[in-house]
Amino acid sequence: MSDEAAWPALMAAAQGGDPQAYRRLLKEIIPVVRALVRRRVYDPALVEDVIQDVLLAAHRVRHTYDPSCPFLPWIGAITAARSIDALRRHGRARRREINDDSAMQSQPDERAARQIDGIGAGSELDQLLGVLPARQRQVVEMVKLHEMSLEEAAQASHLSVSAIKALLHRALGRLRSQGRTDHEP
Amino acid sequence: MNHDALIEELCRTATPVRRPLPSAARALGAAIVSLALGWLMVGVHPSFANLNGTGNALGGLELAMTAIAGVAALLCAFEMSIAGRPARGLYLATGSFLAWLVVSLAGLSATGTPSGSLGDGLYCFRFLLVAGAPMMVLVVLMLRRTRTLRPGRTLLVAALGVASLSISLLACCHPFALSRVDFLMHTAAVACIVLLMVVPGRRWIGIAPVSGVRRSGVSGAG
Repeated sequence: MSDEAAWPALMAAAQGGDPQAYRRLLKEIIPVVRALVRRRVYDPALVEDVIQDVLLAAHRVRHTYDPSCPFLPWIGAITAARSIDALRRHGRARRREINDDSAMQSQPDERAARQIDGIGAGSELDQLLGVLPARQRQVVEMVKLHEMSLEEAAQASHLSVSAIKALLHRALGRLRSQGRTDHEP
Repeated sequence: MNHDALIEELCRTATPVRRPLPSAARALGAAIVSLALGWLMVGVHPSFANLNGTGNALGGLELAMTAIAGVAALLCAFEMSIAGRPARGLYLATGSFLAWLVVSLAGLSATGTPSGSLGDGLYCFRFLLVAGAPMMVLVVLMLRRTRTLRPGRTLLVAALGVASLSISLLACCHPFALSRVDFLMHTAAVACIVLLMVVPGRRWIGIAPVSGVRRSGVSGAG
């Protein structure tokens, strides 16, 4: 029996509360979900986000799956809907943001950089970076703290340079807004 | 990219679940309970005591068309709420709804006062909303059981089903002949039912975040 043929039975067991079957199923479907997401989404960082959205949505509506039907159309429909939702959200954000890489490099935000440089104590730094998602934090640490180039950071994290730039841009934006919130009276 | 942490969280919270009934059974059950609730609402409401139907064949046809459109639209909404299912019942619902429209337009020509006077249809407007109110609540609650990936579309179809069932109740006690104002008010009531269901209902039947589960830290696009 191929893995794919076992998915309805695994999902039926998962609906009955079997965590082993559920774990096996979720791990096996990730490559398929990733391939389906990549048909619509080209940003590698966004692809991984959408995969997590798909897993969460499938978990939320797992009771609606009928084990007498094939599994792929069910997970495929969830994946398609979540990919489109992510692209819409991403598109809205991009319409509001200007992502000018050359301007970013020629005119670095010294205030944000000073904020990072000025923090001496490790605990304060941890606290500050703690507001970031793990991936953004990793990129900030590589580029700003370990002074790696964008290319080196991209190589180390298996992402493209543009994905690293986007992550860094979002991380600095979040740190800036967090700083403003912290210093408000 | 490793999603193991999230998978572990999901497995930890994966309690046994109960599958919903087949969509056809749910649609039929929803229609029967909806009609009963709607009838009860207009029955206990003192202002709806003096509607009398003429009982002619076209009136009966109108009732049948709207009842079929209502059940088919509910079946379609319940099917649409489940990922990967085709929109079964959509053609039947659309066809029956259009047939109702044609029969209503025939009713327009059967009246002695084609235009009607202002305020003619207020009575029917209130009737449709009062009968439709419990149906709206019931159908939204039933859709909340399965949730849906496309709340707007699903609710739109479900709302047309509720409106059709309300009209079928009205057809039981409404003269077949319609004035234009009356027909306009019927249409306005359908639009109100759609708005009242779709706008607040979207938040209720969308796929909400799983309580107690946090995404693991890959949120690069956030």
